[in-house]
Amino acid sequence: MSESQAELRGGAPTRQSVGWNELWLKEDWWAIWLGLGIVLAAYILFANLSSIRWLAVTPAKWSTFGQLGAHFAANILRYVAQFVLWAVTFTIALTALGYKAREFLPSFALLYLLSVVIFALGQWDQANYYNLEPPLIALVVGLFISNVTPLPRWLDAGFRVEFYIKTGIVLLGATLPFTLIVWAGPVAILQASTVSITTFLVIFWTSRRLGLDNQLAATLGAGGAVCGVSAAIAIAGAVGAKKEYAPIAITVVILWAIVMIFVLPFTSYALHLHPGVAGAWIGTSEFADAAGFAAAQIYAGYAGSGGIAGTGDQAIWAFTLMKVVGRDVWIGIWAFVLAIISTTRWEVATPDQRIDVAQIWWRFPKFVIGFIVASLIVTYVTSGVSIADFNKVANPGLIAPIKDLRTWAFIFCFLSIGLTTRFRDLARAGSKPFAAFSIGVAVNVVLGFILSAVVFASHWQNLTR
Amino acid sequence: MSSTGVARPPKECRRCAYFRNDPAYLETVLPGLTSFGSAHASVRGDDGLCCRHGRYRNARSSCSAFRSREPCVEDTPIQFESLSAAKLTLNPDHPVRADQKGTSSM
Repeated sequence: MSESQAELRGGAPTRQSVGWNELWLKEDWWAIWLGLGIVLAAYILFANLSSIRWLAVTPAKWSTFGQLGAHFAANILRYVAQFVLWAVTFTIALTALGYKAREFLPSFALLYLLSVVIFALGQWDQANYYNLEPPLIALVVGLFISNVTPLPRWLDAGFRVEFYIKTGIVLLGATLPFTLIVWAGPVAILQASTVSITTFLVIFWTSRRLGLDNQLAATLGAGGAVCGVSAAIAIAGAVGAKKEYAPIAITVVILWAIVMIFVLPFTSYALHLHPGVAGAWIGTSEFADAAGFAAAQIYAGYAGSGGIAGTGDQAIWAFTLMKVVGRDVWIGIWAFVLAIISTTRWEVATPDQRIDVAQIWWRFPKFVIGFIVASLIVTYVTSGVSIADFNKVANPGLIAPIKDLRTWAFIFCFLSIGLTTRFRDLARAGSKPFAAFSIGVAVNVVLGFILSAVVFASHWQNLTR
Repeated sequence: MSSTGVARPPKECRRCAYFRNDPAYLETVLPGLTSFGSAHASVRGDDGLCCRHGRYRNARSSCSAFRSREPCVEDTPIQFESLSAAKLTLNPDHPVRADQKGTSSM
């Protein structure tokens, strides 16, 4: 049998998931259905003088094991109900995406159990003193388990980093006033575009100087400039890159994204940056949404203590505006422009690579639509409420429970990052791609800091409801 | 639509036997993809791997090495007879044919 015949027989079938199919075959849409479903359910209960609060249970602050044990004893039914809620909804979504429920459910049970432990540890009254922020613990525990223990591969069915972070982002929309998106969005787009274009050009130019070809340079550049792994695979497809290039870009993105989860919040803390400024910096200089939320969430935990003025929300809001609104939504434009350049300038010999203007839409990260709609819904229903009533009624009855469920989704995500990052499995990137990307990282971090902490500092410090 | 009323699917990668874009397959052959990304994301569209050219491509691209995964009308005007002939001449080991028999390895 020839090699091509073997490939024809051994490979997986093709699948069409663009168009109306996308509504049930892409995780972005499932994140929307799930996130908006929670928001609407919360609103309906709230409007009927009830609340989703009972389901949105979280570990309480504790200082002794006795207090912790008492909390779980009193709320065990709520945790079971919450687990069932997550398990059922995620199973429906992931089954539609092609996963097997019998593999997902035990995997998710393990994930939920570990998440409860990590969440509880983060609520210890000494956690801040020992830097035991839940995102950090989740990442370290996950990395340890996946790289040291022989975890079966089928368990990966439940470690869906992107699905959890997208669900969390849709829920986050419900806690971010739409007026704030309108007010701060243009500056976020200006700042993010400045840094993105500069970073892309630096990585691209350096890659070319080091002798890498155009497609690899573009894939690396997009990975560093736009939205990490997602951008790398989008641009690899748009320019028709060799099959080795996306894994190379993925490797360097993962390595730097994990480094930045530690470097950005700790440096911000050392510099006593305002949470809004730190969030903007992280949003400008982290490479993946999940990694960025981990870093922003870590810094949010420092807000209000240790000389850090401001609130944790400001770090999360600034990060989200910068990363999601400022960078992620433009990936379709990047793909379209680079596809034109690739086809007309770089690789005219490449057979018929399609320049498809429609990709601006079908590459659009649809979960952003859910994020905006969630923000519009909650902004609308709270628009006529006085500040006193908002703080006394709307916040505890409607917004805080959604925020708590969002925190769960983020912890699932942070833990999954570690559980799916097996360093031994990553492609060997080589020194030149790593060097080119690293130079881009250096420029990105410095430029991002100057814009966040100097040029637009007052803007990011004044993010408020 | 041709004059005979038969739809003419273009010879795009997504219809090609050399093209692989199943998300589970891509997450297996692109190491690290699931750590900070996903093959189920909208940004990927239907992109996939061409195992003929060793490239990661837009599913709507095409090339001269196209090999039909499903009945695909060639450049000449299609007739019902020739479409039937195309079906009959499919390789019995062809993946599509195997799927139809319910003997796919997946």
